[in-house]
Amino acid sequence: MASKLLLNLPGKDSERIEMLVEAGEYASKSEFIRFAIKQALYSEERIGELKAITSKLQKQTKSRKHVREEIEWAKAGTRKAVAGMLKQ
Amino acid sequence: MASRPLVVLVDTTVLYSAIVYRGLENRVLFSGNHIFVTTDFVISEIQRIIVTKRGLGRREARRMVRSMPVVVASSDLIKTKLEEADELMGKRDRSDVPLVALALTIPGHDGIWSTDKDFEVVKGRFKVWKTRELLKV
Repeated sequence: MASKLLLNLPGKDSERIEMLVEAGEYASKSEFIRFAIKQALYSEERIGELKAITSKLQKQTKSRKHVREEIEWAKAGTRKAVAGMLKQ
Repeated sequence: MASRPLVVLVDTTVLYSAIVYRGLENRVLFSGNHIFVTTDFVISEIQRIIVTKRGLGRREARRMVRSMPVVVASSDLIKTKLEEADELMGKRDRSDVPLVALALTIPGHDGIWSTDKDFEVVKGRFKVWKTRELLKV
């Protein structure tokens, strides 16, 4: 169900939105606001996902030494890949 | 705060540390103050670690990487600078060559964010940022 929101916007922002509508980028000011809200919600969702995963990884982290070993292990693959690309 | 966000190239150690520790790297990466760019080599390294060593599913790893506040440059973009980068960095550590190639490719960036001593060899060409320095900018 749709709901109505009454927004207070700084004059400058409102003017910029109007300019975008006049330039044909958005059908109306409401469409701009709907788009901006969708973007913000999408970004919040992704931040939430990222926080959940990083928190899991942080709990698993044992020591600096362990992390250095993980990185060194992964870099070995890159060294091979780079050597291959340079040969081509 | 600088008048415009810095465009900083990020290496594996820094990016991975920002994910697995709640330390300074984490604060800088998620501050929203700068634009971070890296190579798909760095992203692959991180994905390999979290899937193989940490046991995350591939889908979860992809979701995590997609959500990180980092712009990823493809290897196609940097390949013309790989040889030049190898001359600069190859003797120290070939795994860092793609990031140096990225630094040679992108015009107008503000330097490399790394805590790795190997990057000292490119200090004459690029600014190499330490984590604490970026916190103060």
